[in-house]
Amino acid sequence: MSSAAAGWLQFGLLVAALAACYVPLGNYMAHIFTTDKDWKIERFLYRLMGIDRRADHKWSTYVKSILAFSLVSVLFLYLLQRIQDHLMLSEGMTNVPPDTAWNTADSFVTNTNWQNYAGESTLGYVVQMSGLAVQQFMSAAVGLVVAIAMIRGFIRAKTDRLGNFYVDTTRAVIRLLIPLSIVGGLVLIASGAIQNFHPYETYTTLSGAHQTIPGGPVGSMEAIKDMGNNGGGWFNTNSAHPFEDPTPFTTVFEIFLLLLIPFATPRAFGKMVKDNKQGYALVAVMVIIWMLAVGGISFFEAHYGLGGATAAHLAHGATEGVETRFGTPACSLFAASTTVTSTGAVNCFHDSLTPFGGGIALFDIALGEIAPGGIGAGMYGILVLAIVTVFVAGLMVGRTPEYLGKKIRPVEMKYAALYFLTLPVVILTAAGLSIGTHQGQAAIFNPGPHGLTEVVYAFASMANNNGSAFAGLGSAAMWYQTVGGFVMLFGRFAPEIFALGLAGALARQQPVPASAGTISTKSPLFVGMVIAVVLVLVGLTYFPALALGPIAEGLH
Amino acid sequence: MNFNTDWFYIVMTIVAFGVLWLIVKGVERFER
Repeated sequence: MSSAAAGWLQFGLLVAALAACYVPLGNYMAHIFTTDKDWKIERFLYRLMGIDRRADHKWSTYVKSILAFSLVSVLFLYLLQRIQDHLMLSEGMTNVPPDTAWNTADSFVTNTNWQNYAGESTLGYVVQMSGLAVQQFMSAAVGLVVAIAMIRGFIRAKTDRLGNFYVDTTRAVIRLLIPLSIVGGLVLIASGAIQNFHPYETYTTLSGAHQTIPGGPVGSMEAIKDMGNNGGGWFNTNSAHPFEDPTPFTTVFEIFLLLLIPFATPRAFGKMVKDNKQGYALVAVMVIIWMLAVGGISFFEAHYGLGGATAAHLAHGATEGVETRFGTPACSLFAASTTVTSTGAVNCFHDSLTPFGGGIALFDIALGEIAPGGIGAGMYGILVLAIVTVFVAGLMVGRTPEYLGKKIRPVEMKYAALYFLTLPVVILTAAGLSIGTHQGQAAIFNPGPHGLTEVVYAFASMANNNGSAFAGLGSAAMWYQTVGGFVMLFGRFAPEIFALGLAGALARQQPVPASAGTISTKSPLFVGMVIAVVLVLVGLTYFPALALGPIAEGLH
Repeated sequence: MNFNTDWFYIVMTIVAFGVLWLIVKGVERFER
C-alpha cells in the first residue's frame, strides 16, 4: 500500500471512530455534570477534603478556587522536582534546576506540557507519575469544568451561581478521565507501549559503544498525555519514540485519543442546552477547520518536492524530521491534530515541516485552540467566538444580538473582547521582548524568518497551552524558562477568568424568547459566519508575524 | 547576581498568581 493510500485510510478510520463516539460520549459527559447522584468514592473524597458538595458558587468564587488549586499545584510540583534525589525510584536523577523546575511546574499545571528537559534523562519514575501524570489529569479536568461552568451560564437564569469547582473536577477525573485512560492505556500497552518499573539498563552495541535503555510506566501516562490534550511525553522525542508510540496503529490511536473529548464536548453542550443542533453547528465549525488544517499540512509536506527540491522529490515528500515508521501522511495528520487541539504531542518534528506546513501549524495554534481545541478550553473558546459572531451579525441587521436566548449586551462583549485580546498581547509582547533583548536573542540559533517563526511559535504554543515546539530555539535558557512560565500562567488563567465572568453575566439574565429577527445559530450560514470570524480575527492579529516568518521563508 | 534560586521562583509564582487574583478583583469591581 502506498504511503498516500495509507494516509487516506488512517484519516477515514479516524473520522469514523470519532463520529461513532460523538453521541454516546457527549451524552455521557452531559450526564456527569447534570446528575445529582454522587458515587460512593466521590462522597468519601468530599468528606476527606471537607467539601460541601451542595454548595453552588458564583463565578468569582469558582475562578478563585481554580487559582488557589493551581497555585498549590505549582508549588507542590516545583518542590517534588527540587527534592528528586531524595525520592525513591529516581533512577539516579539529580534535583531539577530551579528555572527548569518552575517552567515545568507551570507547564503541567496549565495543561501546556512545554518541556525544556529530556524526560528520560531528567526525571525519575516518582516525579513523572506522582507529579506530571497527576497534573495531566487535574489540568485537563480544570479546562473541562470551566467549559461546563460556561455552558451553565447559558442554561441558568437570574442567578449568579455556576456550580461547584471541586465537585465538577472530582467528577471529571473519576467518571471520565480515569476510566477512559485505563482503556486507552491498556490498548497502548497491548500494542507495544512499555509499562514497567525496571531500572535503566546499559548494553554494549555491536560497535562497542554503550547504550542505556530507559524504562518506565510509559503506556499508562501515554493515554492521559493524549486524551487530556497534555502532550508531555515520557521521552524527549515524544510520540516519535517507539516505546511511546510503537506502531502505525498506535499513532492513529493516539490521534484518536487527543481528538476524542474535544470533539464530543459540543454534543454535551447541545444536550445541556436541550438543543442538539446547537452542538452540531459548533462541531461542524471545528471539523471544517480541522480538515482544512490536515489538508493544508498534508499538501505542503507531500508536494514539497515539486518544483526543484530533489531530495524531497525522490523521497515523495519532505521527510526530514519524519519518523520513517509512520511516514509523511501520518506526520501531517498528527501535526494538524496536535496543533488544533492544545495537545502538543508530536510524532515528527515541527521544525522540519516545510515553511508553509509549519506556518499552518502556527496558524492552528494562533486560532486559540478552538477546532476542536483543548479539553474544555476549545469549548469555552468557541462559545466566546459564537458570541462575537452573533454580535457581528446583530450589527449588520441593527438588532441586539442573542445567543441561546441570552442577549449579548456591551458587558458580555467587553468580556469577549478581553478574552480575545489577552492571548495576542501575551504572545506578541513576549516574542517582541525576546527578539529585542540580548537575553532573548542569545538563544535564537536560526537567523532570519525561520528564527522569528521559532520564537513566535514558542510563545504561541505556551500561551495557548499547546506545548509543541520548533526545535531550533534554545528555550532552556533562563530567559525563556522564566518568561515562558509567566506566558503559560497568564495564557491559561486570564482567559478563564474572562470566560467565567462572561458566564456569570449570562447566568444573571432572564432568557428572552426567539423572535422573527433572531439569528439562527444552528444553520449552515451561522457555521460559515463563525469560521469567517475566526479566520478574520486570527488573520488580522497574527498576519504581520506570519508574513515575516513562515510566509517569507516559504516564498524565499 | 544569581537569580536561578528557589526563592526567586517562589516569589515569581506568588507574583503571577497575585496579578491573576487582582484581575479577578478588578473584574468584580467592574461588575458592581
